[in-house]
Amino acid sequence: MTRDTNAIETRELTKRFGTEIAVDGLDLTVDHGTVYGFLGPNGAGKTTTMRMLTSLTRPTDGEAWIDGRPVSERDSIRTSIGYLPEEPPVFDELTGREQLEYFGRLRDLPATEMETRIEDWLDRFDLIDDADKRIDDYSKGMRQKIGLIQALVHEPDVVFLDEPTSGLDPRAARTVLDVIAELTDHGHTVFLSTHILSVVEELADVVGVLYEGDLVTEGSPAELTARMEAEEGTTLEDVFLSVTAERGPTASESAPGNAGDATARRDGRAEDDERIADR
Amino acid sequence: MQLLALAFAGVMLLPFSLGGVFGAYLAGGFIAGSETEPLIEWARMAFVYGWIFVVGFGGYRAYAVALRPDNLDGLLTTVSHRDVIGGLVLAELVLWSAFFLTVGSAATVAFAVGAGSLLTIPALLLTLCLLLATGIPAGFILALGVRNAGVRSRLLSRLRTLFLFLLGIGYFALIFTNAFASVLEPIYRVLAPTPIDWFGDLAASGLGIGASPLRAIGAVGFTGAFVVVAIASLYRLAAWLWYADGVHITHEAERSDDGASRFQGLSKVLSQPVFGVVAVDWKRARRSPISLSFALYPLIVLAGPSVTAVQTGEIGTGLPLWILLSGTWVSGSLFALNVVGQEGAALPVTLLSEAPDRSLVIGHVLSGALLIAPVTVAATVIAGILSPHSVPVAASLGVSALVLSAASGAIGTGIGVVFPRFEAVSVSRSTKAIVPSAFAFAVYSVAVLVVSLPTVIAHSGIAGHALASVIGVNRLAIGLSGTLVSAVFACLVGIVSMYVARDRVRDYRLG
Repeated sequence: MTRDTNAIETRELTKRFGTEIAVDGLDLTVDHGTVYGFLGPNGAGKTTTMRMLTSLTRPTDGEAWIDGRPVSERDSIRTSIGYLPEEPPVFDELTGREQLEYFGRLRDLPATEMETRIEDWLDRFDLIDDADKRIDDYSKGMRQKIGLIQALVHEPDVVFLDEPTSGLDPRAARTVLDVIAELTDHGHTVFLSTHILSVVEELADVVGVLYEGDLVTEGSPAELTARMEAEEGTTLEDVFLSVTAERGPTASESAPGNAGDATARRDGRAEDDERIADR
Repeated sequence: MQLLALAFAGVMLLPFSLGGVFGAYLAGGFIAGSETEPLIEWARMAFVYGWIFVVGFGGYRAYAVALRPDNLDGLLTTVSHRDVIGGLVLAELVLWSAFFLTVGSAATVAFAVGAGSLLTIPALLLTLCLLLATGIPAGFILALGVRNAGVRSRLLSRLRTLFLFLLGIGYFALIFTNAFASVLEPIYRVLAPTPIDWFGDLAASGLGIGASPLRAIGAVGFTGAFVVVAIASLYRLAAWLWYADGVHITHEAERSDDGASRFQGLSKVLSQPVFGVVAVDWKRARRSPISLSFALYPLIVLAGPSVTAVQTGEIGTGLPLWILLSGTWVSGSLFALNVVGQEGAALPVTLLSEAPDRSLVIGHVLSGALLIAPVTVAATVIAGILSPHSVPVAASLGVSALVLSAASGAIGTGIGVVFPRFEAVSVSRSTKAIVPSAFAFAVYSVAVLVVSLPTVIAHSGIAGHALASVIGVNRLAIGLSGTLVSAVFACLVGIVSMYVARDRVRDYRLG
């Protein structure tokens, strides 16, 4: 079965671990050539959603498609997707270049083309001088860059990035943001999960906020801030704090949309969120 | 749990302790009725060897355990390094004293009763205390010296794994060859002319066996001086270690091009993804061999026959079979016994690659077989030729070695995928690695034994000969039959196992 309308589409996508619901009936569509900013507190179900969309985890219910192809058939989406997991996928004993060559070979890229692409990306991310050093000598940011390059080196149509700017210095983070912008300029789709709201605010065409497995709000950054009906200067952070507080256990104690109260409640819920821990 | 462990240790040590106490009583009685002249020399020698023992074990514990306390950075930012090292040494002293002074007190009383001289009790107890008070700090000084050298020397840092490996080999060689005395003897000769030798005189005071009172008093004075010097040394060495700006080893690896050229022949034969897996397996193994230290397990069974062969100068019919079995086991377990788990953090990305089922399974099987099978075949054939086996039977063994060590990886893949391990475990004090699960090891070992059994029976001295006699054919025919049956078994089990592995990897989900 193929559907050729959206880069990513899900219908009633659900994942349960025992009795606990990680993702609850997620419906979303992501257009080609856009950036979808996927927000949510720790344990909201973001990583589980990304794993279902990349076929790494089987949904309990519902369906999902990448470029119209069902994710249940992994073979049909392999070449279409790139994935940067939260933990950089590297072997400490290899050099950065060897790591990228390993993934390039697993992707069966032609040797010369692979080398050219790797060299270009290493240069782009300022890693040329360190490319032949072992990864166990790399900083967290350098590992992250290697992880990011492996997600892009085969030029996939849809890229899933889980916290791509984690551990990066401002210059490297800026390079990543520029790369993401370029990807969408060239028609690629980026599904971006991050805690850094300014990144989403800058890049995302559409933002979805996941909270306890539910998509609690969705829209462009401008639409979301407008929905707040708040005073001028309301930011995406205010929206995030508000929508993730409204459904919390202490929501009745304060009026919806009150970002200051949301901060206090968020702190109170941190322990529960960590327990669910990005399933 | 710790209490349980202590109780268990206590129960285990009780017979030895009681034996020691009884031995002390007998020794006391023996001394009471003996000539005096050589006994003082025995006492001096016993306490010098005792001191070497305390320094050796104290040093080992300091290096391996005591000098690596939990949250060292937190300790050093809370109290001074002097307090930290002082506390660590005192903790070890208390630990050792708890055992030695308890058992030592009982043994001392038993000895004194046996010797009929109660004056010996305070002298012996005091000597034990002095032995610990000098031996434990001396062990710490040695350990701090070694660790400082490791932190400051680029060569030692780079070759640390090799040094530890050689040390381990040396230790086991000493055990198997009963050559500990040859190592301790020179150390004793160095220490005998030093004040360490005076402890024997202090311990023997009151026994009337010729102990020198001057040397006895000297032992006490020496201990005082030693402790003062030791404290100063410990403070300095600890500061050097913990505040050291040690060498930083960056692992400059060869350019990938150079590595590729080394494997060039292979890259032409294998598909790009399979070649990628083989190349990465070998590179990782070469750069972190300690992660594969589990491959040394067969040395435990191989050591006995090998030492016997060296000692007797003859190779029996069993040694080639042990080599064959060990090589087969290592070949399959090295890379293929945890195909999914050993990908670690890279697993999600690997699963999304072009054909991970084929590349991972075939690649890991080839990594082990190409590396180990040639060595196994060569070693088996050479040992077979040097053994009483005829050359044709040795060749039959070689064929078995080739087939089994090539097929063992295939056998391992399916088992490893069904019983994977994803968590890293400590393979050394400072290295963690993802190794195959204990269950995978167990099932794999049984499978390897079962498929190898026909070869083992057909080529063993007794069973092979008996079979040849019963059936009425020559040994070569029996050997070849065993090889053939094992080969068929290994191929069948290997193919099934690879299919299981391929299916599991293809459909593998993270949760």
